[in-house]
Amino acid sequence: MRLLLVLLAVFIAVTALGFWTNHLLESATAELVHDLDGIASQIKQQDWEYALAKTRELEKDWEKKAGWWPALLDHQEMDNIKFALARFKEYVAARDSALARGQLSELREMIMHIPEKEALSLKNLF
Amino acid sequence: MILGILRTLILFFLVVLGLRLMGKRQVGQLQPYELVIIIMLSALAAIPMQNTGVPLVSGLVPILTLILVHVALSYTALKSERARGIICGTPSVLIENGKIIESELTRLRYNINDLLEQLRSKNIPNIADVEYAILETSGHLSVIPKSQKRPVNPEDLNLSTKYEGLPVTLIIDGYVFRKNLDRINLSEDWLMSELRKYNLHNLKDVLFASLDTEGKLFFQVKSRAG
Repeated sequence: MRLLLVLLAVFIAVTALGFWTNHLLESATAELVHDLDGIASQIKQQDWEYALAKTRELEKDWEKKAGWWPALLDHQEMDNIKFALARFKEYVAARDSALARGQLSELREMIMHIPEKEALSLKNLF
Repeated sequence: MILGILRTLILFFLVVLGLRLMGKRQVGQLQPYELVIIIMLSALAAIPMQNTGVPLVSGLVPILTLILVHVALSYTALKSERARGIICGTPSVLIENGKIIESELTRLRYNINDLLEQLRSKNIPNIADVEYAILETSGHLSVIPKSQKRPVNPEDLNLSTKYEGLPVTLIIDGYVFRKNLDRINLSEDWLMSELRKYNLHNLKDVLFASLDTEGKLFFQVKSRAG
């Protein structure tokens, strides 16, 4: 019985940790998406200097926020976001509006996909 | 590559720990749900082991869940007869009072050839010698031969027998089991003095030594020492 109780306690702790990490992922990705939207509006206004500065900030923010994500999420997905962010930064630096907006849209979807994939939903369950 | 080695070691030890927690029954005959858990465990451990892109947690959490499920099901089956019937199934009588229960064989899709094969493997070539044959929940066939066909035992012949306990192991490969010596109120000095009678002066030279319930010491010396 003691073994069952210990395992149950560990399981409850892991489940609680799972819910907590889902919450962290949701809030962190919401912030990142908000920053991306800000950059998108700067690009729309052709304020490239500011957009580039914000993109660099976003890159640092990503490193800080997503540092522990590979422990839980597919490493390939994390790498893809990192590569997409690097591409986006170069498009902004080159002031290429079409490519920057296209890449930003992809990046937005990729980041939003993370909490969606981890969310407790019927779609994910099946 | 180093990552692969480390991940393999972590998962290996976790699965071994899991199997140890599941108990000794795993090693022998498995219940259907235990078999499912073993198959799932091996698959779950293999994926993060070979693919370093998959987080280790993706393997660890399902393994922990399976261990919990196994322990919970085992406790439930232990405490409730009804739950045991649902989880493990119930034994099926295939031969009762020497008569094959055809309906049971059909229900279990167990053909007569399988039954005969199992009986032969238990040294019962003639089905007519069987009083009861029971298919256990683990798939193991238990056979009870007719009383006329079972081996004679001392009770049948009204013979009195003396107590036969279990010999106590005292030394294995030079290692002295002091706990066993204490249990039978003997000491290492006694063991040494007994072995000296056979011109043995070092316990490390003994491959195996045991003491039976009649107090007879059995020992064998290591080949290099002999």
